Amino acid sequence: MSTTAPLFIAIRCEELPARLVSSAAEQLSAGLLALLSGIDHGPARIWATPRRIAVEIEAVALLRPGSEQLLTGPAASVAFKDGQPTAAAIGFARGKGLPPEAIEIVEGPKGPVIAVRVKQGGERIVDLVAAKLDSIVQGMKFPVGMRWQPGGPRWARPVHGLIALHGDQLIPATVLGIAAGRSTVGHRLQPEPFEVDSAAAWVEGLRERFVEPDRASRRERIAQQLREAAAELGARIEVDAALLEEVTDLVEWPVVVACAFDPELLDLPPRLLVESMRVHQRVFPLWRAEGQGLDHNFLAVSNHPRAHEPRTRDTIATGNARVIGARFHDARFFYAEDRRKPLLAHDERLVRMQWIRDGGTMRDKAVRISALARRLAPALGADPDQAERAGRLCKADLSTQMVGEFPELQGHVGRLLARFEGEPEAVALAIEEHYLPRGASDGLPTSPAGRALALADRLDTLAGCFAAGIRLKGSSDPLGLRRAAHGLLQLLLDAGLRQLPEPLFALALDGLGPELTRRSPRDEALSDLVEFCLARLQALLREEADKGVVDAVLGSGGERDPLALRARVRAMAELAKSPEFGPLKVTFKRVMGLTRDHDDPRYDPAALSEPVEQALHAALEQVRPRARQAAAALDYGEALRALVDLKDPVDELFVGVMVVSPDEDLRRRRLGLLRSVADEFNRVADFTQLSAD
Amino acid sequence: MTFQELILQLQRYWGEQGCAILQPLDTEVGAGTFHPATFLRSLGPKPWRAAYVQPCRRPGDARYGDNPNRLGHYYQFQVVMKPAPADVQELYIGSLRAIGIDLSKHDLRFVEDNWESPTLGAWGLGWEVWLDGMECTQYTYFQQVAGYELDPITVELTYGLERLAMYLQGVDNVYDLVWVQGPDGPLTYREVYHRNEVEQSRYNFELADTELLVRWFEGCEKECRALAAAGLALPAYDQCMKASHTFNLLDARGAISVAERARFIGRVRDLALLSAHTWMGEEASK
Repeated sequence: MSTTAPLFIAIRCEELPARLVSSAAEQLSAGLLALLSGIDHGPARIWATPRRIAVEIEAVALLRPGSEQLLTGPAASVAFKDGQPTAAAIGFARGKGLPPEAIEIVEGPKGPVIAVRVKQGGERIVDLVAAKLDSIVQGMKFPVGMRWQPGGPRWARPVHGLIALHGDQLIPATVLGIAAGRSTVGHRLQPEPFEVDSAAAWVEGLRERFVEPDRASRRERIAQQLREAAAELGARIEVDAALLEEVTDLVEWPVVVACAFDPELLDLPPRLLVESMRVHQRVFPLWRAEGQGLDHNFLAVSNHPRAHEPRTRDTIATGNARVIGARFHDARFFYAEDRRKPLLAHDERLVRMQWIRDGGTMRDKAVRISALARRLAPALGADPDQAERAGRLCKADLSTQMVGEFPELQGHVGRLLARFEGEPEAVALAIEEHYLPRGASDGLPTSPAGRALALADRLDTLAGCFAAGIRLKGSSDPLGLRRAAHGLLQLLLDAGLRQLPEPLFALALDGLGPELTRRSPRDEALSDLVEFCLARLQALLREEADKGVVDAVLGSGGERDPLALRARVRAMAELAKSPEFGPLKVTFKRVMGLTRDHDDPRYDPAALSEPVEQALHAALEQVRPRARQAAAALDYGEALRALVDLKDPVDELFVGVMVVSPDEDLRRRRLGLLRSVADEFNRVADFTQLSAD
Repeated sequence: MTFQELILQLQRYWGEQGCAILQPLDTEVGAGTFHPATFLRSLGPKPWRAAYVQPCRRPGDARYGDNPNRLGHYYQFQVVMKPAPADVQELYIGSLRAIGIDLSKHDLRFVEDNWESPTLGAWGLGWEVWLDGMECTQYTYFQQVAGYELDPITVELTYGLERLAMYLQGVDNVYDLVWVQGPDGPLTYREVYHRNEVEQSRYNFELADTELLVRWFEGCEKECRALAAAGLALPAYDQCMKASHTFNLLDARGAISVAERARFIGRVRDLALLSAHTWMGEEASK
């Protein structure tokens, strides 16, 4: 008889939010695997659609592995009289659920005692799962849960069905008030229930009823149909990965339908058309031949098994086209309205738009950005007049109807309107680019004026909020201050500017009006800003190297601008990969340790009498200019290579002389020599902060 | 299917499901959710099923009758059921069948849409229901209303009637909808409502007296509090709805700055919560 069988759990529910479909199945799988820890089982496999999640774990033992325990009782002399068990012995056995015949005599620490052997575990997995499945499912984490039945539990969406099988045995579990059974239903168009006795039968039964339970297959099917449909229309497609993931979890049986909108609408800004199709309608835009722009055809992913039949296909295509058409016609109306006024007229309405609570208007902010961008322009190679002009106009599109309707187009609409009014392209582009980067993985501005504006906007946001007394507590960050600081650093790094953030913040703080500055003293705001920025830099550098290296660099002296700090971290991370790093660390930790209380690097070279002292001095004289020159050029790899040359002379010094000599003069000059070595290293990193491994 | 047949079919269908077919509320509201049959009746343990048409006024969406898809005054068909029946999704699909939407010929998708009304202190989880890509219904399991955690919960289905009718009739302009086949030919939505859209747009955007509206708002606010203090939940809530509509008019007129806007919404919410507390017979908190 087999001692294992597959465990299969399937939950059927109302449509899960697309973003939770995978996570729900993964959490169910993880919960079951945790339950089975210590129990023999094979690999797990998951399935997920908007209306069901399932897990099969192969070869799960039928029983939990048993163990035997010896339980001892009273002394044998008390337990037996004349070879017969006494009442004490019988009572002991009965207490363990065993007959007197089970009693044996074993040697205890104070002589023979009676004992029984009790089997523990060996519990049926069916019973284990039946007892625990509900708490596994209820323990799943969702951003927000809901109740649907009176007094009932909370879960992502209402649950309607449960299959729980161990081999062919039904597990008598109840989950979220639903008792396990063997039956399920297919696609909405196939509502008649059917029974299954295994995962394979479930998968097969569903596929016969227009449900593809395997997520990867569904996604691949969509991708392939998209490519085929595009080819058939003679169009190009760039399959948006995030959208593909989302639509995969909006359908159980994907069928791609080609749709089209009125080609006249192609005169709308292409980005509006694309974003609107993607974000609002979850359909895939198509492009004509290279360089010829957007196509008026687009592709929708339906959940209709017969969407390839002409009549159904036409109905679905017409429906989708009407929705898109209505939206675009609306946009066209807004776009025409918006173009009737110059950008500066839109800007006037910004006086009605508060930037932050009691912190002046969006228009005040635009004016500040404009002035700041002018100051920053020369260092970034931007034309100051253009930077100033673009700053003045960069928020104006927030009051247009287009941005009101399509907020994701902020900046882009401003660029289009600026261009329409005949502003120079550099100004128009800077208006759009000043929002970049929108997030950690977003692109950066490509134009000098765009960089100046983007920097100015972030400096102003941070300085304004800090001056207004806003500080972040915990993880909430409604004003996006972490993102702003992250963007600021990315911009500085990208621009190749050797620039400390502090004077930039000072400049921004000095540009603020009284409505912002009256709450936090300037110096306090400034030092908090610098600290906040450093914490973000630390996080940013942690993406390049592990914590020890980042701390070693930030905790040392040397050049402190973000560009230099990043170069130092990169060089250290590189060095840490090389085999000589371990011994090097040992040597220089020792140097740092010895000179901890000796911060005077001076010594008289003429007085160095020992050859090992003279050798180290000579090496230092040679290494120092080489390392500093390399560091000045941000080539910290070369700087470190130079510094590594000090290792041997230092090691030889340690071997050749006693550094901490009882002789005051000897001690002072040797520590001075080592302190000079330490100071050079400290320009890159503080080795004492590195772990010892 | 004419516009009125659509309404009649929905009423018949939901009536058969045991919903009380109510008539529209006789005061201006921005959505069917404001109707006491939804907002107040979703509170507390008593079972409740109702369905009704609710004319909605959204002054800011008015377009002088020029836009084929947008109206400052339009109709919702609202269904509320408490407790939510276990088969409410099937019941909903049955309602589509009842208005002639044969799902073997149409694509139906349920796309996550979590609803929140800061004005009513309410939120819920559910979907936008997409019919061939068109959002035709808001489907929400209320979780909280007026700050109260609901148990049992109410499910709310809100059909956009004009949009659904446009789809069923295959017209691209709302004003071309056929309301009824009259003795002299079809009566269109244009004949019924176009003039209203034009005139109301002028009022909303050009003529509304903002100073007067601010005074109205304050009057409603004062009256609501006084009525709540007298333990009269329904008259108090009437004043709350009037305050809300007055705020919408001020907003459409561009008379409210962003910062003020949040404060106005907070003031309406206070009135809504006060009315709900009074309805629940609790000591008014404010």
